[in-house]
Amino acid sequence: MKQKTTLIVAIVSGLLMLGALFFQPYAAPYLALVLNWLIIISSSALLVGIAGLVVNHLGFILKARKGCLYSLVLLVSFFATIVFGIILGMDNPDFLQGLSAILLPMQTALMALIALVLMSAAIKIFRQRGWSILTVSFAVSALLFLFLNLGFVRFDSNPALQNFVAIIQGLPMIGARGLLIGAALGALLMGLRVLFGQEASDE
Amino acid sequence: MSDPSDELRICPHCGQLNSVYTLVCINCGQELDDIFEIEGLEDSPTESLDEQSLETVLNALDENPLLSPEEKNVENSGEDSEAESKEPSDEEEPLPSWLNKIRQRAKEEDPAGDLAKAGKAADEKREQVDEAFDQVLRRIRESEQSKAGRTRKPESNLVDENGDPEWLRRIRELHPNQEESLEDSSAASDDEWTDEELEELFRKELGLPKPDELPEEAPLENFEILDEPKQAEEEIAPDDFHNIPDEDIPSPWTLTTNEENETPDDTQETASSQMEIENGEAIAEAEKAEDDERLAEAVEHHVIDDFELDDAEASPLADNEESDATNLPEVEEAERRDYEEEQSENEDVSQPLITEFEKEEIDESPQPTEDITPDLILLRDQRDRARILNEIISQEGRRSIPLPHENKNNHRLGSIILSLLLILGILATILFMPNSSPAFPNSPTAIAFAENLETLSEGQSVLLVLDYQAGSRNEIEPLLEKLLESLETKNISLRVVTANPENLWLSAKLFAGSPSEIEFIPGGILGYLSLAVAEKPDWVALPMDKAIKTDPDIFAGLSHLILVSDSSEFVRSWMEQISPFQLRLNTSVITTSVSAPMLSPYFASGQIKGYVAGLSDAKTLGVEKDLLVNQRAFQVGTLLMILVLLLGIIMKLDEDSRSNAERSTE
Repeated sequence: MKQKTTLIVAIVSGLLMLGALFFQPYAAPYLALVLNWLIIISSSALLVGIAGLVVNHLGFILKARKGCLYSLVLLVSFFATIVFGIILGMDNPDFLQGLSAILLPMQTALMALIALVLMSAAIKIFRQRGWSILTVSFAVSALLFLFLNLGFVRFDSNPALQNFVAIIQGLPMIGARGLLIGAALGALLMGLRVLFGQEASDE
Repeated sequence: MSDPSDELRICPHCGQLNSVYTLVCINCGQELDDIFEIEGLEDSPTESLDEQSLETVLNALDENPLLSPEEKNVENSGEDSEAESKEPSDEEEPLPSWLNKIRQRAKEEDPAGDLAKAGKAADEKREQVDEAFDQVLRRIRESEQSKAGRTRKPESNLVDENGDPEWLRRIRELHPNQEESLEDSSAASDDEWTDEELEELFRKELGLPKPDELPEEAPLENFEILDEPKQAEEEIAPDDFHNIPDEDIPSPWTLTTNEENETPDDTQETASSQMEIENGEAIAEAEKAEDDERLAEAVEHHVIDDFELDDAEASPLADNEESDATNLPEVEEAERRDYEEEQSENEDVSQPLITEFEKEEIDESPQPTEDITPDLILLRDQRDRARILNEIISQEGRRSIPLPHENKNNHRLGSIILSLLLILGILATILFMPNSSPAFPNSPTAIAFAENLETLSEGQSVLLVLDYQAGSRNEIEPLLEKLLESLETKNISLRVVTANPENLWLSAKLFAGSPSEIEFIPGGILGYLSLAVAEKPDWVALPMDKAIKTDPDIFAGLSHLILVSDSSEFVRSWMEQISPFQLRLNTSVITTSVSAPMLSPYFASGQIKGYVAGLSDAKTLGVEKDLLVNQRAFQVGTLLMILVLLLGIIMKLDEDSRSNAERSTE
């Protein structure tokens, strides 16, 4: 019965959203109301998630588990942010400067790590996957577009070649469109499974 | 397991025994033959190993009946006739050329036939040993019976129904265990006597004490005779090397042979055949020969001193008989007569025995054996060498230890050099490029974005949605700053919202002098969606209305919408979830170069009027000078990515070439 309840709720919610979409002028107020409920629920879930995170890390510290130092840093920074945010306010320039001083280098370093990981993957892909259609096409396309995006080569004097390069540069759009269409079809099928009770998301 | 005696070879110069693998004689320094050569083939001037392959040689060796296991068993059965019958068949078959060469070389190396002589003499002596052994056994039994009969002389005339005399029955009654033990032992051993059994039997039959209990005088007499043949044997050994086991060379005590049974020709044939058959087992029986010699010494002792032993045995019996004979004087006289007759008979038998001993000592020199083929003597050595050669040939070309990659360092050095060249090319491109802005063409999307921005006129309202991370700040904020300047120039009403708390402080500097403030929309994309629905219920106040400080209807009165995001997912969600509720808005995007390809379908479909992606489209918005250094950095990063891809390809090619080289070497 418990499973059926969640399933019934999911089906009704989906049908309401679809009805609100199709009967938008009339069902729009109800749709806005449901969306607000959804935001509140998701915000509450976020708070529950934060509370669970804090409790877990407190447990790690109390049990002196290996790596509890990181848990201590997390909790200290978390509570400090809450305290300073409440006292100083979210619009305080000093508070914002402090956040920026922490987040900006951290995310920049993360982006640099992503670049290194991509470079490492570019080296390993040939050694691990060997010479296949996938790896060869990846190598050719990557080298081609990286070289074209450098801007060192111009085809202004040759309109035909320039059109050819433009067609080549349009190839990523074809791939992206295929990805978007595939993702949309996947989302549609998932929605239909939920509506027909085939997908038990709570399991 | 190879017997150590297998690894001996004789020096052709001095006769010293050397190891098979010794190249130089340890005695005279004579250079020995190479171990990889096959005798009989090395000196051939006309034919080589190529003409007769090794396989043919080995097959011929394996097919040789003298080396087959069945033929080796002939020795155990003692059937000399089979060996004799095989010789003519071998002679009838055409001999292979290598066998002829082996024989020829053997004759050259041993023209006097010493090896064959020694072989024949050894075999002949072996036969003599067997014959003498049987003869000794018979005489011992006869003498025992005669002694028993002599003690019961008065009753010797009594014969039972089986024809056995009375004295024999009495002896059997007195010694039942001995006869039974003899019968049992003979039945159990199946006519195969071990050395210990024979020795023990002799002691029992003769009533002799054990060897350690023997008096010292008796062996001393025999040692004078036994030392001479040993000395002769030692003299023969170095000069006449042969691969016949030493046991086949009989000891002098076995020289009492029955020469009447064999003619000299038969003896030669038998000796040669047995030598051929026993050739493979010669080494294995070497140790057994020592035991035979000890046994032979014991037998010799009994044979030579037969009379003395008989006397020694007879004396206690005579004493007992004398005590009995006090009551029977006639019997005593009869016993004395019988004793004298027996003594005379034994003297007749022992006299030719000693004479034959002396003859054999004289005839110890090798007898002429020109008919023996010396190639058969060399077969074992030849087979071993052929086996070694075959193993060497089979291992030829194989890698016994893993071959280190010889060009490994060279490949690594080449890769390093190539990498350095590529890096130097990038540095040269950066350092020596003309100090001017890179000539990037304006992208269609950027041109469309600029055109859409130009359509804005004074008094229109624009909603600016911020959603980017700090890591992409340097790529987005210059474009955003230029956009704000343009909108401010046109006096456009601007409303800035964000659902990302990070953008509250990240973009605060950009809007420091602007009348617009960044408004936070809770709930993320759901908050935007709830606001985009637009229709609000009259009967209840939505929580979102209380969360937003200003007018909750953020889409009211807007003509353009500009999304500032480094995430293509956010843009996609907006275009798919929110834009259907706000179809009237002209939407354009400021994003990063990474997210640009995913937005191209929306641009192609007209859902997005235009977008600028990163610094490559900065020129379209009129920002060039300040971003020149960053553009160079972008080019360096792009070149590094190209370099890494090329290195990956080169490393893969290098690995393939190594694997191919290893396969080819294997």
